[in-house]
Amino acid sequence: MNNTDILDKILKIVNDNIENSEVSSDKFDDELSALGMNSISFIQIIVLIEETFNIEVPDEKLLITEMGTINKMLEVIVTLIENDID
Amino acid sequence: MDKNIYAEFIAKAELNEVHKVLIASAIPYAIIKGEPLSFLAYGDFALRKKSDIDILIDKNNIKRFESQLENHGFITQSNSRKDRILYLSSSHQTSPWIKTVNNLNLKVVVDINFDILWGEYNGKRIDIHEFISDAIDMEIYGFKIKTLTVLKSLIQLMLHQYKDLNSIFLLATRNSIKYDMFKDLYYLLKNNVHIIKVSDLYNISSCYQIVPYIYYMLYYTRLLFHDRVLDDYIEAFKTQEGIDLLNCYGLNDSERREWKYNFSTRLNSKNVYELIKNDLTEKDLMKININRRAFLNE
Repeated sequence: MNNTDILDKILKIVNDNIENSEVSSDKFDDELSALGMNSISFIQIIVLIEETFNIEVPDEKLLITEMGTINKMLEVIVTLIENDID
Repeated sequence: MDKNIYAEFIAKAELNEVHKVLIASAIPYAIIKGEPLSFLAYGDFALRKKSDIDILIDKNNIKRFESQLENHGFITQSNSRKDRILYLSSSHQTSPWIKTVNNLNLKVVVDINFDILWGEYNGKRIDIHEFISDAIDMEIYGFKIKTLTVLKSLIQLMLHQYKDLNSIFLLATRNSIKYDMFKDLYYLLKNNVHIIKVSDLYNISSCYQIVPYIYYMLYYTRLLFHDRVLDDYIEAFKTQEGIDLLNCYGLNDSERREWKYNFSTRLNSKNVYELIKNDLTEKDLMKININRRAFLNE
C-alpha cells in the first residue's frame, strides 16, 4: 500500500466522522479540531484507523495533538506499517 | 481498632502490594497525592483521606507497568480498545487497577497517572519523564518510595484541582468543588513557604506555560484562607489571562464559558449540576454520557 492509498483511506475515515466539514487535499496540515474533530470523533477515527490498517497506535500517540492533522496521522500509520513489515 | 492505627494498617497493606510492582517494573515513577502529599502538607501520613494509590509515570512506560500489575494479581475493569483510547486521549490516567487481598478483605486500587494536565488541554504538554526526573525518596510506614519534590507536588496538586474545578464532566456528575481541595493546597504552600520561593514557582510555571491556572488556584485559596502569605505569589502570577479564568469553567477555549453564579454559591452548592445544567449544549451532553460509560461504568 503506497502513501496515496493510505491517504485516501484516512481521508474517507476522517470525512465520515467529522461533522459540518470536508477535509480536502489542501488541508492535510490543518488541525482537524478546527475542522470539527472533537474528542469523541477522534476516538472513533483512531478505532477505524486501527481496524483498517491492522495496527495499534502506541499509547504516546493517542492524543489529538499527536494525531491532529491528516499528515500526522499518515506519519504514524506509515511508521507502524513499516515497523510491522520489518 | 484506633482510627489512626487502622489507617496505618491499611496503608501498609496497600503499599506492600504496590511496592512489589514498582520494584518489579523498575521504571521511573512518583507516588502522588495520598500519604506523600499528606506528609508534605500536614506533617502526618494519615491526615488526608484517600481511596487509591496514584502513581505518576511516563506514558511510554504504561504497558510495562500494567504488565507487572497483571503479574502481581491486579485486574482492570476496562478492557475494550475504545475505552483505552478514550482514557489515553481524554484523561490524565488509565482505568483503575484493582487487587483484592482476600485475607484482609481489602481492595487495593491503583491509578496510573500519565499526565498532570487534562485531555482537553491543547497547549504544550508537560514532559512527565522530565517532571518526575528529580523525584525524592520518602519512607512511608517502612516502605521506601519515590514522590515529587515539594515544588512539583504543589504544581501537580494545583493543576489537578484546577481540572476538577473546571471539568464540565466532573461538575455535571459530582460535586467537584470542595473546600478541602483548597485546604490541601493552602497547607502545602503555607507549611513549605520557606522552600517554595515565589520566583521558583513562577519560573517553573512559566516554563510549563501554566501561569494562569496557578493564579486561579492561588486567588481562590487566598479568598478562602485570608492569609497574606499568599499575596506575593498572587501578585507574581497575576495576568489578564488568569483574571479572565476566574469566573469561567471549561477546560479549553472551545468549551470555556462564564459562570452564572459567584464563587461562594459554587462552593456551597449541594448540587453543582443544577448550576450549569441550563448552559450545557448537545455536544456537552454527548461527551458527559460517553465519559459516564467509560469512567463511571454506568
